[in-house]
Amino acid sequence: MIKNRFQYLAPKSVEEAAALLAQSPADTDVIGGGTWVVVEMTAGVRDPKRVIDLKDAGLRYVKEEGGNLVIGARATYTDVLRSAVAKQVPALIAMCTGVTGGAQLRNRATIAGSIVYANPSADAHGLLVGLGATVNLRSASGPRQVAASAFYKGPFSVDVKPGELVESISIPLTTGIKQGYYKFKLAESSWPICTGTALVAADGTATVTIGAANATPVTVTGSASDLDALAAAAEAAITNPFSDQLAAGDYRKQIAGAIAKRAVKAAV
Amino acid sequence: MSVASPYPKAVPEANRYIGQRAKKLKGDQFLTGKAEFINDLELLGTVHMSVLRSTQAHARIKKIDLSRVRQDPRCLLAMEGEEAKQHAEPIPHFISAAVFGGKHNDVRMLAAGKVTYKGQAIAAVVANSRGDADALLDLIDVEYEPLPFVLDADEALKPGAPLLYDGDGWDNNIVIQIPFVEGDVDAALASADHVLEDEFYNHRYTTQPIETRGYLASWDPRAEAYTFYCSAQNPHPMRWVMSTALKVDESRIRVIAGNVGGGFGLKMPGHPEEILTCALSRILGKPVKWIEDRDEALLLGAREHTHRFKVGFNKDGKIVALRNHFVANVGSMSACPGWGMSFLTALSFPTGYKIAATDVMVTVVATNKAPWQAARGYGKEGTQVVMERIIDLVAEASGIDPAEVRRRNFVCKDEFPYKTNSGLNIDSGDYHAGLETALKMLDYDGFKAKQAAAAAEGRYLGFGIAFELTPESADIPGTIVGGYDTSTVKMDPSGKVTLLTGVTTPGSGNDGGIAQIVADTLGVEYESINVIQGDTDICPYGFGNYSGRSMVSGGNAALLAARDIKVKLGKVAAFMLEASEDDLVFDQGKITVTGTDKSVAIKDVANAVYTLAFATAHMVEPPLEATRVYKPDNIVHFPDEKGRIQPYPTYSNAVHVAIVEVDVETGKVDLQRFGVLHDCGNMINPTFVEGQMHGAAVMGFGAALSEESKYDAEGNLLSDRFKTYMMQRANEIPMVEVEHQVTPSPFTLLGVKGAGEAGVGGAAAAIINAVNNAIRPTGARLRRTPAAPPYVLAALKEARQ
Repeated sequence: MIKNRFQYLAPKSVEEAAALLAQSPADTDVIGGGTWVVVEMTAGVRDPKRVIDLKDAGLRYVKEEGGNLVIGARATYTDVLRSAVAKQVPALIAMCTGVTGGAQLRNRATIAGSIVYANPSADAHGLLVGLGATVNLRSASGPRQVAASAFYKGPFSVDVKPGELVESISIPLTTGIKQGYYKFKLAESSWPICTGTALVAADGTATVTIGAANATPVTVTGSASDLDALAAAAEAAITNPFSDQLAAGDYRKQIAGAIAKRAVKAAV
Repeated sequence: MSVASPYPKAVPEANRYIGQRAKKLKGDQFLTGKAEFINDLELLGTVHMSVLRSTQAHARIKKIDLSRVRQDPRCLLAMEGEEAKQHAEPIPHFISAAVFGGKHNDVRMLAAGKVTYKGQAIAAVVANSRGDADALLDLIDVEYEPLPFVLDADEALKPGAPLLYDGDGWDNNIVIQIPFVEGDVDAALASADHVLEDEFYNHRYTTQPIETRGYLASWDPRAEAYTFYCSAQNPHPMRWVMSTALKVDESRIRVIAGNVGGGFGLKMPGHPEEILTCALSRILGKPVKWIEDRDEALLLGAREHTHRFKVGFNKDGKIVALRNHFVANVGSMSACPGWGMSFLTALSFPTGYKIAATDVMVTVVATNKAPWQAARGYGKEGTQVVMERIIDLVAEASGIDPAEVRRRNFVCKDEFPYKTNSGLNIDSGDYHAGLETALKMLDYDGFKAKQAAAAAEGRYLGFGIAFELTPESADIPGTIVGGYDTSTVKMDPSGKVTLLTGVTTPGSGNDGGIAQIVADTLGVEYESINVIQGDTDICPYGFGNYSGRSMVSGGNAALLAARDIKVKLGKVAAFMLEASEDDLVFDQGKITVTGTDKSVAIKDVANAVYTLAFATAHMVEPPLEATRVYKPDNIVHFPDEKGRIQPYPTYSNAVHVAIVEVDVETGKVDLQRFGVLHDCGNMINPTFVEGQMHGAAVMGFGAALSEESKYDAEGNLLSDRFKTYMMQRANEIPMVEVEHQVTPSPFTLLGVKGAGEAGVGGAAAAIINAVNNAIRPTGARLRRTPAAPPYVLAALKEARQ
């Protein structure tokens, strides 16, 4: 049960949300689906004075814009799965399909929420870095863009300044590059333990981004025809392995090579 | 499938309920969400309790300052451990180690002076909402003096280890040592063709009903009596626990357990919050409610033992000696019956195998982890995993097929009743036939070819076999764990039947099973029987739900009670029909003279008993009510010449088979197929039996693959939510394929044996054996549970080095 009273705000636009957030950023939480913040409030480990719910802020969209797939902060995994334009990004679809918290979670949780939470044991981080995505932030003083590869600072730490909220995520739409996504979990209940996002160009160049294994996602490049070398490079790239209650960092590092291979195989 | 009814005579086969798949009583209410549970219940003026828990693994409590919280207007009551001593005595141990020669420790509703684990209850607050009560906990200031702590059982046994308890003989952390020795093990090991030595670690895991514990205590100052609503398994025994701790007569405590959303042992009595809600309700003069949070439910553990064993066997695979001395880490000692699981782990060796010389001993060790609570399998699941590993290790070492090693060591069907080395008297069975059926279910003979084909592709398939013996329906002398139970059958003047029993249901459907027995006996409609359970003021005395006892005790008691009613009805009907009682058939609401069309409605006979007591029904004593107890045969508490007792009437058994594939790059185990051949004697309702087996098997999957109560080095429980305590989900498990074999128990009236616990250990053992079978070509061996990817990968890595 949520133990302390708080003010609930549901702004009608992203500008209004940013203005409200600016009033008192330190004790305000922004929620998309609420599957992280509300759960932590119920558990008593998070105690905001104000909660800004983006449900009415016009951010529930998945659209094509300027050569990008743009996913609004309030778009759920189900929204992405139902979007025709998102099908141009097969790795994204594979990732959303694999979110197995059940229909209730897919219908409520958002990719934007997941990336702000930045628990390394998650699907989205490695995928967005791998796909070259951009995070579109908004504050009272205007928009700001950050490349996904620069967005993650460490476990549970991202480049979102006080007063900023995530407005949307842009993923470049490409042609001629094959995509693959592979997720490894300990069991169905488990958070992702190691994810691989692979891009394989027409010339056989493979770029693999490993998520969940390191404090922040890591990317390696090699040849899709020399998977062993690629696997060795992926394992070597895990220089700051992430440990949590489910799996130690050294375990994640040990399997990173195998996951890299499987991501490439999923792409070709 | 249909099972031959053991019920004596005179009911046409087609109308029998016994052995049929009758639907769960009130199943529609559960399916449509109309059924109410403890948290749906609110009495006028109900207030809410929240519990402050220790943040230290081991510490003296220097001071608990309640002044800030008491100043908050939301705070109705706040209490800490020293003050709580004035309001309640120590909670009696549900199964006391001292009864068996072990040590005693006082357990109070709030710890006073000292804490021995993180999560121990040290203070409580009451407010008008649970949210407020939770918030108020932040205003309690606690000053600790940290003490050295110990989490590992082997460490806790070392000289100089931190001691958990003071006084009462606690000069070390050993709660009790229980040996079971039979034959000359040293001589048998010396003369065996081969001796193997190994060890196996059964990890700590727990049990999680979908509904956590919950209590609503209400003190009535005028009646000077408690009414205690609860989600609990054992209302009458719980009343005794409460009476002892609260110093209120049992006759002034009414325990009402309504619908229970799963129990599995977690809801057996002895928990501090049972006493706390009552004591605080009495002080406040208001009903006090407490609903357990999931992290609180996950705190209580079960199992964690390291087995170090020596096995002597001959060239033909026949095992001649077993020595297994194991250490059980039971965490801190609570009043709950958790620690006793390790006793049963030892007692149950060597399950259904004939081994002439055995020396099994458990050393029960207290540590600074949270206590154990009873968990389905009640220790026997640990035995199955270790014993079945031993059989497979013998197979490996002797080069004999693991199925054949089992055949050569099983007790044979003509040897029952069979007395085991620890004194258990196994009622009946046909393990050889069960094994053959189970092997066919998953095509054991064809598997080797599949395994070889997979190996050629670099894949690792494994087949695992596990026999499981499940002693059920325990009566433990000197404790309030009873093996008998009581049922009352009442037929009212309109011919409708009310059934009251001391057995309770955790949601499993035993109410329906018992009603089926009564319906057949009286020839009435099953669905019309009103079953009442769980209310100590209404139901006859009984022990509730544990140890697969519902049909064995409550079901047979209901049969006896229904027969008493039937005798009265028969006398009156015979008078009405001018026939002999011996010629009457009770069926479909009518009593018919056999071979004729002369009949009378049962409701008319019932009405006559009440309204024509001096005429038509002059020969019987109204009302139509009977209360009977059933004490199953085969329980022997007078020690035999070797000092052994026999606490179980029935021994269901099963053979589990599993096929897995191990991903050697990640250590992940894919359970591809699972089958079980189950024998619990005569079945009252095969659907209910299968439901129990499905659930138990999936618990076994969790035990083998993913569920783990994990601690960090500081004594923090890491697995405190369902993301970190990983139960199996529907989309990762294969179909649970169940087949039945029926060898009735000669020791129970209906030929039934316990059902419900079997499955957890057998399924886990089959999977662990399958994993070991799969990775055998790598030279690796998994010597622990669970077969979670990091542990499997570590075993593979160790073999490579």
